[in-house]
Amino acid sequence: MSTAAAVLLIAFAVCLFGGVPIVFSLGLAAIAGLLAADFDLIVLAQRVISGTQVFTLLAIPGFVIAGDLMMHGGLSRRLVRMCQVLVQHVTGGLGMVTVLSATFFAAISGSAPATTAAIGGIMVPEMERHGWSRRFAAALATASGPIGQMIPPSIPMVIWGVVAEQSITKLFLSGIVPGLLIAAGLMGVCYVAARRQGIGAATRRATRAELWTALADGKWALAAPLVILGGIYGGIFTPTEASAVGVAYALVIGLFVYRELKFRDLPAILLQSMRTTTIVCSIIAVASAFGWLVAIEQLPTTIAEAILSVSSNPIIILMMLNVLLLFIGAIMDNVAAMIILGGVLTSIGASLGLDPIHLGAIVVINFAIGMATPPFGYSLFVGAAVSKLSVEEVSKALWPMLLVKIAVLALITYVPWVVLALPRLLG
Amino acid sequence: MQALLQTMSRGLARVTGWVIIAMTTVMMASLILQVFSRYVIGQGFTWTEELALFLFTWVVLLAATTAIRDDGHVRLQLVVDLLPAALRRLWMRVLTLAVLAFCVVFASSGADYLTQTMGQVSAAVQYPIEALHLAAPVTGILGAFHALARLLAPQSAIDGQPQTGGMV
Amino acid sequence: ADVTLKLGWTTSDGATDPYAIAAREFAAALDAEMPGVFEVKYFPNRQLGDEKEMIEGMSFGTIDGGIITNAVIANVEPSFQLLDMPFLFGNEEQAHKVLDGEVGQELMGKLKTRGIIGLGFAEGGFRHMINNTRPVATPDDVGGVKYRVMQNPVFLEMFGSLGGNPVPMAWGETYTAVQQGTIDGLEIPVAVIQANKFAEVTKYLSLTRHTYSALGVMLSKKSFDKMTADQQQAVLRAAPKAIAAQRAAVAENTTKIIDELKAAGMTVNEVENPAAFRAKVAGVYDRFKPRIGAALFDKALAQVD
Ligand code: NA
Ligand code: NA
Repeated sequence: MSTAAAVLLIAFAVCLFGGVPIVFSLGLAAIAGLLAADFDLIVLAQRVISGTQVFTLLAIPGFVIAGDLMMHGGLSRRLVRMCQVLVQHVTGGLGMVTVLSATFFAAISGSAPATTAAIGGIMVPEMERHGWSRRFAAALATASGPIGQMIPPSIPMVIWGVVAEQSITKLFLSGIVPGLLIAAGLMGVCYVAARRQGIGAATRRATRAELWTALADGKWALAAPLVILGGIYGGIFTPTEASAVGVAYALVIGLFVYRELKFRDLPAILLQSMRTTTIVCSIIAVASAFGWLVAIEQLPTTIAEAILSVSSNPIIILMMLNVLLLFIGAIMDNVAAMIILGGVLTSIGASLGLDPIHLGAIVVINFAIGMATPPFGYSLFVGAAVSKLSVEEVSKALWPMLLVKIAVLALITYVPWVVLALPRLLG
Repeated sequence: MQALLQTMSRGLARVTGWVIIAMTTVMMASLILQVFSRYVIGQGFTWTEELALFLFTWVVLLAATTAIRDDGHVRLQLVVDLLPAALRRLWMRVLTLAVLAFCVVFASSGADYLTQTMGQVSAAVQYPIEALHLAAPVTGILGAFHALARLLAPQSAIDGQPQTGGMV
Repeated sequence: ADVTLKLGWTTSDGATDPYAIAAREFAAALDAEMPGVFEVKYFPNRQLGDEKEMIEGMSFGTIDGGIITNAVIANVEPSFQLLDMPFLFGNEEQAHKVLDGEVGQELMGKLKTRGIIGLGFAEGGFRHMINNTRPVATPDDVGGVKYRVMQNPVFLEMFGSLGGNPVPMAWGETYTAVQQGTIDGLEIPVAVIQANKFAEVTKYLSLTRHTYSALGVMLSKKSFDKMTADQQQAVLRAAPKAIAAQRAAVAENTTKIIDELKAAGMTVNEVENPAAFRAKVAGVYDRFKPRIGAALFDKALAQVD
C-alpha cells in the first residue's frame, strides 16, 4: 500500500470515529491523501463538482420531494390506510406493508437510497403511529431500500454489465429471486418482532364495506405507483424522469383533489426535502474526491490481490470475496468500487470458474447490502434522515435484518442455481 | 462583533434557503418539461437535462452549507457520547474547527478550479462553465462562514441546536 | 521504469475496445523506442473521471495522459467541432489524411496553451445509427424516430436537419431507455454497440457513417516537460506508430464485429447514397463554420473533396 493510500485511510478512520460529520471526514481524508501524494488540491473542487454532475442522481431529490408531497398531501395516509385495512388481522402486517411497498417501488427505482427515501418518508411515521418503535421502522426502511438495486431496473447492474462486458438483461433477471428472498426474510423479521412486542395483535379482519371505503378514498394515491411504474415500463419516461413525474402527480392530487396541500406550505416542504437530499448527495459528491484517490492509488487491487494469495480453496475464496465486498461496500460508494474492482473481480471469477452472471449477481447484491450496513451506507443515511434518528440508533435495530441478508447472500454464493435459473430460462 | 456574526449567519442561511427553494422548483420543472417536450412537442428540448444538473450541483452544495449552520450533517456519535460533558463540549468545538478547515481548503481549491478552467463551455447548451464551477468557491466561503460563526458562538446558542442528524 | 505515465480513458479495458487498443499500442510503442524506460499505468472505465475531468486533469498535471473523444475536446477548444461535422469524411483514408496532415497539426497545436500535448488522433470508428423502428437507407428514414444523441450541439443540429427527433439523454440511462422503448435508437460506433450488448435490445443497424469518431491521444504538458529530451523524442516517435497499429487493429475488428452483430440477430444495411444525407446537413456546416474558423474549415473541405 502506498503512503498516500495509508494516509487516506487513517485520516478517514480518525475523523469518522472522532465524530466529524461523514461528508467532512471523507473530505478531510481526501485533502490529507492529496497532500501526501503531492497532488494539486484543485482535484478536490473538481471532483466534488463532477460528483454532482450525474443525471441519475436527480432521482434522489425527485423521489424525496415526491415522498414528502405524498405525505403532506394526504396520499401516503390513504395508501397506508388501505394497506392497513387489508392486513390488519395479520401479525406484523404494517411492517410487511413497508417491505412489500419497497419491493413494489424497487421495480421503479434503480437506487437503494431513493427506495428508502420514498418508502421511509411515508411508512416510518405511519408505523410509529401504529405502535412500532421508530427505530425499528427506520431500520426496516433502510434494510428494504437495497431491494431497489436487486429487482430491475438497477443502475449498478447496468454498470457491472458494462465493466464486466456481460448481458445487462441477464444481470437484471439474476437479481429478481434474491430480491424477493430478502423481501420474504424481512417480512419474517416483522412477524417475529410484532409477535414479541404484541403489535397489531387481536385486530379483527376488516369487513368488505370497510375495504371498499378505504379503496374508494385511496384510489388516487394507489394510482401514484401505477403512473410511475406504467410510465417506465410503457417507455414514456426514464426512472430519473419518473421521479419528477411523481412530484407533479403528488402535487396535483394533493393540491386539487384531496386539497390537503396548500400553496403556502410548499416552500417549507421543498426546503425540508432538499435538506434530506443534501445529506446524502453531498456525501456522494465528496466521496467522489475520496474515490479518485482510492482509484489512482490502486488500493482495492492491492487488497484483493492480498486476499487471493491466502488460499486456493474456492469456498474459502468466495467467502473472503464476500467479506471483502461487504467491507468495501461498508466504507465507500458502490458504483465507484465496482468500476475500480471490475478487472480484479472478473479475473478472480474466471480463475474460480464462476459463471460471469453469477459473479455479477454476487457483486451487485453484496454492494446493495452494503448500502444498509453501518457505518457507511446511503440507505442508512437516508433512513436516519427521514426518521430524524442518529445512524447508531437505526443501526441498533438493523442487525436481525442484516442477518437475513447475509443468509440470502450465502445461499446465492454457494447455490448458483438461485440466481441463474431465471436468466437461463428467459435470457 | 459576536452578535453581528450570528445575525449575518442567520441572514445568509435565510437567503440561501430561498435560493434553494427557487432552484429546486426550476430543477423539477425542467425535468417534467423534458418528458413533456418529448411527447407533446415531439422533440426533446436540448437544455432541460443540463439545466437540471446545473441547478442540482448548486442546490446540493448550498443546502450543505446551511446544514453546517444547524449541524445537520450525519455523523458517528459513538466516541463523542463516551466523553464526559465538559470534554465533549470542547471536543465539539474541535470538530467544528475541522469543518471550518475543510471549507477553507474547499473554497481555495474551488477558486483555483474556477480560474484555471476559464473559457470552457458545457456539452449541450454551451453555457460558460464558470457558472457551474463558481459553486465551489461560493459554497466553500459560505460554509466556512457558518462554521466560523458556530465556532465563536456562546455555548448557550449551540446547546439550543440539535446535536446529531437533526433535520430542522 | 524511469517514467510512469498514468493513462486514462472512459470505456472498458476489452480486447476490441478502440480506446484500450490505443492505450496498449502506445505503451508497446514506447517500450520499443526505449525498452524499460516507460511504465504506462492503465485507468480504464472512467477511473480517473469523465473526459472533461481528464482534460482538466492533464492541464493541472494531476493525470499524465488520456484517450479523449473529440466532441469533448471541442468543449475546451471549439475548432475541434470541425472533426464532428456530419458526413465530412467519406471513408477512413480521407479522415486519416486530414487528421495526420496540416489540419490535425493545427488543431492539436491549439491545445498547447491549455497545458496539453496532442500526440495525434486514434480511430474510434465511424458512428452509425441503430434503432427499433426501421432501417435507415435514405434521409427520410431518420424522420419521426427518437434517437438518443450525445449532449453536443453538432449532433443535435445534425439530427434536427435530418428530420429526426434527437433526445439528449445521459449515457447511464440509455440502455434501459432503448429496452423499454422510451427512445427508439441511438448512434454509436460498432465497438460500443458490441461492448454494451445493444444487439439484445435493438433490431436495426444502418451503416450510416455519419460522423467519424476521432480519439485524441493526449499528454499533460507538465508530465511531458518532466521528461529528458531523449524521452520526449521517444514519445513523439512512438505516438504515430501506435496510432497506425491501432487503426489497423480497429479496422480488422470492425469487420469482425459487424459479422458478430448479424449473428446476434441485428439486421444490418449499407447506405447506398451518402450524398443525399450530406445535402440535408449543409446548413449545419454553415452554422458552425464561424466558430471553427473559416480558413481551417475550407482547408479540411479541400482535402476531402
Ligand atoms: Na430496481
Ligand atoms: Na455500508
